[in-house]
Formats: sequence, C-alpha cells, structure tokens
Amino acid sequence: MVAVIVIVAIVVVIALWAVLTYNGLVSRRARVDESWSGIDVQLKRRHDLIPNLVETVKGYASHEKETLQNVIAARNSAVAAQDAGTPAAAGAAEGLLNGALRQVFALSEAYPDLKANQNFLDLQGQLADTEDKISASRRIYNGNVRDYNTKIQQLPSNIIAGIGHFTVREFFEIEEPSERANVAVSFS
Amino acid sequence: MTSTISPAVPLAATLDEPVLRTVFTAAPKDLSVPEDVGAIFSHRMKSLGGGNHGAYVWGSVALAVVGVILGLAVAPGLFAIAGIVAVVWIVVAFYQHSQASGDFFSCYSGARGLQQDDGNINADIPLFDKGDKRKWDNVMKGPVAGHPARLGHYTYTIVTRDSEGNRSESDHDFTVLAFRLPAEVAARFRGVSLAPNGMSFGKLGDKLSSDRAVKLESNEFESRYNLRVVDEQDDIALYELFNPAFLQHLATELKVFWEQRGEDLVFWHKGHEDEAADLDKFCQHGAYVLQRYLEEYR
Repeated sequence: MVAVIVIVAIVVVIALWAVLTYNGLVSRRARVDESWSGIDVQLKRRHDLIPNLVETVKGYASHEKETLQNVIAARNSAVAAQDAGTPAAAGAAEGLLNGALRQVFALSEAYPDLKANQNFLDLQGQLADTEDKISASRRIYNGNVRDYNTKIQQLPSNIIAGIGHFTVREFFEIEEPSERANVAVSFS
Repeated sequence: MTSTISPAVPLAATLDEPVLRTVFTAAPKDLSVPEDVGAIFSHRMKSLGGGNHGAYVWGSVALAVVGVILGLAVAPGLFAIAGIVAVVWIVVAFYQHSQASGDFFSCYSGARGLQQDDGNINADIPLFDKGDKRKWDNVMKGPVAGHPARLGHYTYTIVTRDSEGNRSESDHDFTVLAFRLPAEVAARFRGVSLAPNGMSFGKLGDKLSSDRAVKLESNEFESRYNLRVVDEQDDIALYELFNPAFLQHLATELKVFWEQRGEDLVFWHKGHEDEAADLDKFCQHGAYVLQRYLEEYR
C-alpha cells in the first residue's frame, strides 16, 4: 500500500513538472513571437519613411537616379524579406538597405539646399530614431531567443522540448556586407 | 525641470574642481569641506582638551579609566565615582558628535551650493513605503547637474513583537538623492528599479512582486545588479536607456542603485554617508544616470 502511494506521488510530481515545463516553454516561445512583432513594427515604420525621403531628394538631386533606384530596390527587398518572416532574410535585407540609405544621406553633402531642407532633416531624424528603436527591439528579441533556446537545450527541459516539438529560433542580426570586407589602408 | 542636459556630467574617477562644478552647479568659489564628520568631531574633542581646560579634561578622563579598573578590583566607591565620570564623558562625546554632524552638513551644503532643509524627501517609490516608522535627517536641497534635487539621510524602522509581546526595532539607514523627471520623460519610463544582485525589498521576493525582472545581455551587469520594471514599462524605452555603453559603465565604473516611479527618480545608498568624497561621488553617479534618462527623451 505504501509502495503504491509512493509510486503515485512520484508520478504526480513528474506530471506536474512536465506540465509546468511545457507551459514555461510555450510562454517563452510566445515572448519570442511577441518581440519579433515589435521588430516588425519598427521595420515597417522605417520602410514607410523611405518613399517620402526619395521624393524629397528627387526635388534637389533628380539626376542621382542610380542612388535613388538602389534605395528603392533595397527597400522593396526588405519589405519582401520582412513578409517572408525569417530573421536571417530580414537581417540581410536590412543590412543592404542600411548601405543604400547611407549613400542617399551622403548625397546631401553635395547638395547644400537638400541638406538644409526641413523635410529632409525631419526624415533623417525620424529614420535615426527608428534605427535606435530597431536596435533596442533587436536586443529584446535576441534576449528572448537566447532564453528560449537555452531552455529547450538544457537538461531536463529538453526532454519536454523534444516531445513538444519546440525548435531552436534564429537570432536577428543586421549585417552590412561592407562591414565584413577588409579595409584597405594606404600610407602613401 | 527641462529635459535638456546642462552641463554634461563626466564619469571621471577623480572628482577635481571642474568635475565637481558640473555636478554642483551652484557651488561657491571655495569648494573645500571637512573630510567627514569624524574630522570635525576630533577637532571638537581636541578643542575641549586644549587651552586652559586641558589639564582638567584629560585628567578627569584618566581618572575615569583608572578608577573603573581599580574600583572593580579594590574599591566599589571609587568605581562608582569613576563610572559617573565615564558616563559624563560618554554623554559629552555623543553631544559633540551630534554637533559635529550638524556642522559637517552645514559646511558641506554651503560648499556645494545646497541649502539645509527641515522637511522630508517626498517621492512615491517603494523604498519610502517600507517599515513602520520613517524619518529624515540632514536634508539638503539645491541644484545637482543643473536640476533641482534633494539629498539626505533616510531611515525606516521595522517594529516587531515576539510571542511574549516583547517589542524590538530594527533600523535601516540610507542616503538618498531625489530628482523629479519632466512629465514627457516619465511617460516613457513608468517604473525602473536597479538594486544590488540578490537584494529584494519585497518580503516575498519575485513571486508576489508586481514588478518583473529584466535580464540584459551583460553577464557582468547581471552579476552586480537586479533590474526590475513595472509591468507597463515600455521595453523599447528601457533597452534604449540601458544601451550597451551604459551597461558597460554600470558593470565597471558606476555603482549606483535607484528607484524610479513616474516623475520620481531616487538614488539610494545603504548607510548614512558622512564623508564628503563619498557624498560627492554619490551625487556624481546620480547626475550621470539622470543624464541618461534625459538623453533618451524623444
């Protein structure tokens, strides 16, 4: 009789642990999804600012077609990558967009009237603010991914993670190809 | 208070005059202060022992010491006399220490452009809700980093009774520096608390606290601090406040704890600081963090 009670108690404890662990993993996964949607909001805000920026620059530097076309193309790729929903694709596309935007802002150095244009300055400020928020959102998302990935790989919660088909999630990194290139230094 | 920063407070290890003037913007020309309460106390006691009173004062101290020792061994009457003299000296020492404390804070406030104040430091933060009794001492008010601030000593007392009805009290001492944030800044930061790792003001810790814990990316930061925010805190604003550079400063150069609820931003340090250098550093670190809050206002 005592043995039966002990066995039942052990089973109950294990079941309770399994339920709590499963719920904890679900909760962590939901936090990852929620924080990804936070990044989504900021990326969308950034993408929505770009057409206005292009129109403003066109008014002063209409013949800089290649630069403006590049940024539009990069923006459209970023929107498509965002719709696809994978952090790796979105990160790569946003990296390319960063590079294209940098070229647009460099234009203002050659066009003083553009540099002094209030609409251009406002857009520049809003884009800078959005980038700060993307950076903060990215840290929040990556922190949640770290917690989630750690939990599903650690013993003994990885047992429940395997049974419940919880899979590792990707981190979100924005990388510009130019950042990985070797820097040419000349002392001549 | 405006949301601009003027002037910028540097995070310098040495608080020389230029740095002190960025912290205490209304400080007079002469920034010199006694080192601490102890220095004034020693001076007061020495001045009692000097001049024409010297022989009588030191003679009676020696008599009290010798009398207690001999009286215990040989003559109870002598012990009683010596005991009375010793008690008188203890009372004198307590009185001189209390006067020295008043003198120190009077000097300190004058040399830092602050004014002594009899009032409390009112702020709607959990720390000021603790305990069964609360009191304020040595409160000073004035500009710190160009913003109105209140600096002082805070003590909360917990009164307990055992099963036999015996009452006991335990005091918890703090030095606090309080600012009021502009409404637009407070709208972004609803409630942030940074405490030493492992410390919890709540009796039942995390489980029943209405705040939530936040883990940031720095292991060094996590080993030093416990960061908690109110549920309605905007995480993006929080991560912008705790940017990587600020995290690095908190993990290495700064040692600062605070509670912020709405417009109330209060820095705290355990114990009643009574050394000028420690008070200066405490205000410098508080001003630096205040700057961070104001920088993140958009």
